[in-house]
Amino acid sequence: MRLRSPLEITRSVIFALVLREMRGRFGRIRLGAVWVILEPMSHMIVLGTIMKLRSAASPSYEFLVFLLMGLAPFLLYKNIVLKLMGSVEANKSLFSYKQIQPADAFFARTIVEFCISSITFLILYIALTWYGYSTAITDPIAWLFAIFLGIAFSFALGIFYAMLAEAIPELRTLLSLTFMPLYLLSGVIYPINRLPHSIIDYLLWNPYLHIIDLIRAATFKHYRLYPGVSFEYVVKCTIVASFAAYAAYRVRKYRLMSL
Amino acid sequence: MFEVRNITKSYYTPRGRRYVFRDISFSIPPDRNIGLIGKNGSGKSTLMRLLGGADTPDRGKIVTNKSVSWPVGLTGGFQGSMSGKDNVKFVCRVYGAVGPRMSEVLQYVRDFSDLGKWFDEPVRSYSSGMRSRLAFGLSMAFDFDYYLIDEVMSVGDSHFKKKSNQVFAKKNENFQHHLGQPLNGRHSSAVQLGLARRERHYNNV
Repeated sequence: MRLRSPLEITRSVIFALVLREMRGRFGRIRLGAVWVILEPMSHMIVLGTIMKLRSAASPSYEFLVFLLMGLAPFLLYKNIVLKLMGSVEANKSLFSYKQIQPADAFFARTIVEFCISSITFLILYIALTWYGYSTAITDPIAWLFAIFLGIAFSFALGIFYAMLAEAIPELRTLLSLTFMPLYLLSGVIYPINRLPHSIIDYLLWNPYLHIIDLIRAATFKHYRLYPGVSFEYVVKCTIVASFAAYAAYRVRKYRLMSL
Repeated sequence: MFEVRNITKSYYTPRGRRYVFRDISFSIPPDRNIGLIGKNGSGKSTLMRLLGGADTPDRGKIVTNKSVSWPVGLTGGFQGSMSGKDNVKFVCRVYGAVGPRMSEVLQYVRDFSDLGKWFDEPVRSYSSGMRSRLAFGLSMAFDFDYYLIDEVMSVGDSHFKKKSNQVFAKKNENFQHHLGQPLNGRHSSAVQLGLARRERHYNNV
């Protein structure tokens, strides 16, 4: 057999895993494909209807666009973290092939989630644009940067969750529930400046709130960034989380792989 | 040639750390088929996992310049909802067998495993015998210097057994070898250190 470089092996393993994951997701049940679009859409329909009935829309931006810009990234981050958490368990039998490492599974799942979310986002985004909403993104560079920062943070958090779930399996349910409060506390469905300032000071510890707000600020021209929200904080959080996650991975890697 | 240098391997259990090996060193000479013999739980499978690189020792090193297969007959890696063909494709991609080489492997496995139409059905619908035949055929489709066999020769009917013995005899002539746990202890005569002996052909298994 021809010798392959480590990079080549990693690349082919990740590619193989991505195809396998995709097949697992869409292969057998057609509902899998429907659900990825339906999930953000159902959120948008329900919340959009409520806001319409309350007629509380803000004049400076369209509420549905506002919702999409918060929901799509947030659901992507949630799925990355939760999928990474489950990836060790799901791929355990594959670690008998020595080329396949837990890290490959992490990368593969992140890529799969990113691809699926991007397609979903594009479909909804195009639909909104076609319907006549003003969906232009004011600062595409900052927008992309904020989204990728969120992915990097979620990747690290997901690995950390995977380590925790492997060490204490009972935590699994609790960890997957953490995204319920985060959904409400990250300003996904409402602008955070509606909340009392005394609460926001505490909420600002949550990096997802920063990320979502930064994405929106990059989208809308007249969106007022909440004071205290900054790229700097998210970058710091990402560095700390990445360091903790990769260190934990290095220490626990062989435990993850053993049957 | 394998050189095992001072390896220690332990596992955590709810009752604390259990040592499987403590500072063992040995070398396996080249051009030999090796059978591992020992009581249940004495670490045969663990040693094979270590030699195959599927597991890593706590301390120490295993050095080899040969290619080693995954455990022959590994069925755990199959995804039930995917067809046998897609599972084979997955392993091909992992091992870098793409393009024409992949079609070659697919053809080989299809012929060898005798699955016929079932090759395109989901693996979850297979019987355990069919599953093992698929796994065995898949391992044989790749050319390794060493094959790791963990009590796998018991699979299949007599026809399949004959076929698998033939393929092993042929691989032996090509200086490819196997390391493994022989079935029902027929090789338990010459034993050294729980490791075993030279066998030119494995056809009496």
